[in-house]
Amino acid sequence: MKRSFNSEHAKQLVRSQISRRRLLQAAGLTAVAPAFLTGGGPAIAQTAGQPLRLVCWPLMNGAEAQFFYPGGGDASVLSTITEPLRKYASLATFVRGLKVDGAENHFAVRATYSGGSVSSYDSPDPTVKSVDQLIGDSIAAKAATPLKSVHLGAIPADSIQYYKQGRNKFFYAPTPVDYEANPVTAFDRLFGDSAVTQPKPMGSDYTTDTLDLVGAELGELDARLVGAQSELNKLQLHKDSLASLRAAGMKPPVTTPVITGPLASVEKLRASLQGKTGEAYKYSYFSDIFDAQVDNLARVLISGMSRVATLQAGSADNDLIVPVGQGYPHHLTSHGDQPTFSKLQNWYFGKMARLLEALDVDDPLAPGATVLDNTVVVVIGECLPYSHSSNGVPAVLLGKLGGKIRTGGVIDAKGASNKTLMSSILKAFEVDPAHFGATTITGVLT
Amino acid sequence: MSRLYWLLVVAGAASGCNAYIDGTGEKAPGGPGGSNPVVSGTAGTTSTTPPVVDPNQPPTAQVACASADTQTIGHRALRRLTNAELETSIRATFGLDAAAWTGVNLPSDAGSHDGFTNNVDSLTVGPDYAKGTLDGAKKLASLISGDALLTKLAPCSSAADRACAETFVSSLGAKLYRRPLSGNEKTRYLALYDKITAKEDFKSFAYWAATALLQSPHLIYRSEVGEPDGSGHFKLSAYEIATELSFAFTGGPPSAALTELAAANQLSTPEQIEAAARGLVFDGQTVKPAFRDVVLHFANQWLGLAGLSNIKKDATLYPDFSSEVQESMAEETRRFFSSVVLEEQGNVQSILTAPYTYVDGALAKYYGFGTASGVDFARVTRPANWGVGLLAQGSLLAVQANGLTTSPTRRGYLVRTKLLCGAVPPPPAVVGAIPEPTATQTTRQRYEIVHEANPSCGGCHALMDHIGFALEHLDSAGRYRETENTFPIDDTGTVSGTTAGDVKIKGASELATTLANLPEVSDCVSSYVAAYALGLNHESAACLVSNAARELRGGKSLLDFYVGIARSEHFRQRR
Repeated sequence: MKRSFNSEHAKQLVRSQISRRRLLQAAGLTAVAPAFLTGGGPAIAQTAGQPLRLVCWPLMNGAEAQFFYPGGGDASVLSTITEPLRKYASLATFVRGLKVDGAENHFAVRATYSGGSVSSYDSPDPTVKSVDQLIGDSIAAKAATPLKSVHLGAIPADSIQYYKQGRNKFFYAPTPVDYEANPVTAFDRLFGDSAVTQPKPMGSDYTTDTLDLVGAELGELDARLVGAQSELNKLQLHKDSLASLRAAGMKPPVTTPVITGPLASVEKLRASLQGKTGEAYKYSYFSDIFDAQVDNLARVLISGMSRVATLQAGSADNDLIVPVGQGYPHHLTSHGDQPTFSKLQNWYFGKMARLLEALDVDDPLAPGATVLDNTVVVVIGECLPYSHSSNGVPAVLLGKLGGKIRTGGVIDAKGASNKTLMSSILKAFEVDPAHFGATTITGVLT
Repeated sequence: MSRLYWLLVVAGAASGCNAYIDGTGEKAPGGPGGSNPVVSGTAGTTSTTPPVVDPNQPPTAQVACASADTQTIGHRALRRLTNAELETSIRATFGLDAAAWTGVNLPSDAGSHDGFTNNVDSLTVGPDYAKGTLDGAKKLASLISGDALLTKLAPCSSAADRACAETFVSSLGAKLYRRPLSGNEKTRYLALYDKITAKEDFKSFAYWAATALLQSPHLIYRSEVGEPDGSGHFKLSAYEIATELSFAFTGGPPSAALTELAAANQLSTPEQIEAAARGLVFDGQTVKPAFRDVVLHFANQWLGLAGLSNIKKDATLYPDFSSEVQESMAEETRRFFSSVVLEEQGNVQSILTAPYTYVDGALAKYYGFGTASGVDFARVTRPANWGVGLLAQGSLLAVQANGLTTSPTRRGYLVRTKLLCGAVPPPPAVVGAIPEPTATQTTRQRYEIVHEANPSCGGCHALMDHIGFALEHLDSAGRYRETENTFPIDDTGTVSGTTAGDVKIKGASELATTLANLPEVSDCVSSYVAAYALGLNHESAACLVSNAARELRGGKSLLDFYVGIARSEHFRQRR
């Protein structure tokens, strides 16, 4: 299915010169199999070139089932909360009856995508890679993108939020993955001078020499800190980070379709947010920040700058004011009147519609398909709003993932866990789920 | 084992603390827990819970205090600069203003469970930070190697020779590393010079040398490593002490004058270090602006006031709680804190009981007292019944409340954790629903119905709600109210588990004076101040500054306490 440009902002996301020099061939998979995943045999195995994309989109504070799931088995009927996705209803796959394994309540945010065991607010972070990182690793090995993964936030959980300050990340590599909360900073880092066109060094590139020099200094510090294990660990993380920079520098540059030009949603915020970290946490900017980060994320995926991205919008367990009507505090409202709370969650799905619309354009990496055709957005809540139980958390997949997902239905997970769902996603990306989560799950959702 | 500790443990264990922290169903702010210092059963002394080693926790630079009263020294550490500290350092080194350079572009600083963003364990260099540092270094290197700045930084650059390369690296390196470069360090840079200038020009070397300098761990981390002193401890160098002093008292890198003191080995004794600290704090009798900013930044993070601008109150109940009022409230608290702590050099008691505040025109109109007009702030005495001191500040009351109603739980939690340093068990995994506010009940009644009628809730909530009840005459938006929904307000409460026993209180002023008279409150506040100054958790910092804390408890000023941190052994040596 190919869709044409259908909104001004979608056009803006791909405006200007798209290089076709390195367009990858689309797999052209159209099979519709009876299961959630369209088989798994060699006949439809993913080719290395199939440009599949993953988006992880946590649904903060969850949703009560009666407001989230379609009335029957037909996803196209949609629900109060997901109504904004009407245009893309055929691409939705609802998953009912999932539990989060090894975690409960808001602190389950750390377990949903990682499969880690998080038994309390005070538990240490998981020490396993989350699904985005495993898939990012796999893509890097098969057909590297300039960035392994991109992580954005719209007033996300951070140090001023409630649930155990400093232990509020969603994604792990296996240490917590940082996100960028300021859309102007994100744009500049992703598409601005510092990212796409580094300041041109004079003559040859000596980046590796500078990293070697820094590495030698770290080595000397190592020797002075024998016995101070916490600080040695800190230095090791620093050295590993330099190693990843060095490795990235050793690889031949990956050429992707070049998409240039400003994003209106980002430029709208530039004067207010450029260089102002704290301003990006002001609730009054929430909607605009959300739009800008969605647009940043869409451009990343369309251009193939990365094929793995996450977006934390708001945070569980915090009273960010959602600009619906007079404005409602998110977490507080989740405890109260559920019809009201469903309007708030509906607002979030309006932003999701913006993303799907943006991705509904020709895939520069796969002629004949749209980016949305090759994408799956994995949405999952950490707990139910009223009871805070993590049994029966809401989940929905959006997108066909190159024909690998049978869309348009409601799957009864029958008590399966988030690990099963994530293992299924991993398998769809042809990634061995053996190393996912605290314990191995071998099955997939059907 | 202290009495309060047992109270908390028993309450939590017996009940499962199966309750909302807040009457609105919100969880405990901050996800409380850990081995906080708790009050001992002996008035006037404090102790800490025995450290609990959790094998699942990663290694830490924190100190397991055996007793807050026995001064000890902490561990060697590398403290990554905060983004603000790094930016200040770079601006100071290269003389770059905001027009010339927009600033660092790095991931946000992670916060600690105390709410501070300068904690030694929280700040690390991960892949995103390293990438941001490299990218940022190259951008800056382009500026530095440009003709205008390069000529200024290295007048010898026209000669473009090896000697100039050494001068360039030595002079910039000394500022960025906050000490002279070692022989090995210079040698490596000169080797880079040799390699680059075999094919490129001097400007190219300047570009790449700057790129390396700006990624150096000696810039990014504050070294508090020291050298073995033969007694099993590590003595910090004069340059390390100068760096400690400078960031703790100015928020930025050492000045030339402070570096000269280090070079002359004039930062060795406690007296020398304290004298240097006082030089950073005072300009004559006046407190320097940089130190004022440090103190106010501490207060903002300690009290969790950063969220004030995001607070939204019910528009029907509080129609005049505008953004203008919120901004004025923030400035009110800054002026109050500055006045009490810096200008009047008060102690913890002063912070809690100062009978005045500051209002501008907007606040005078909003509160209904004071004669200020326009944007000028005036000091005014608080009317009777409006409470006194810090806990009566509109900013704090508004932040620690809900949109519709007050929150005795949040307010009590703040007092329990940030003033009493008490531990409150984490909320349970699953919580139930609570009634919505109605016009037929006071907030207190709603809380009592939900929390006190249920034994599984009351154990923990008594620690918080019974403190917060005393503030019930101060509404969700920070103003005095005589009644709530036409019902009289019961503002009696109890501060339980103190060195003075369970103290009955009535109203905001009695709460303030009760807390002001408790020695553990002085000790608690000093532990948070030390935590901020030293980049540690407050439980760790308590036993590193015991001597200064004792003096604070005895009546010395908070400002003297802050300066006294510089006299501590921890400031000079590590283990």
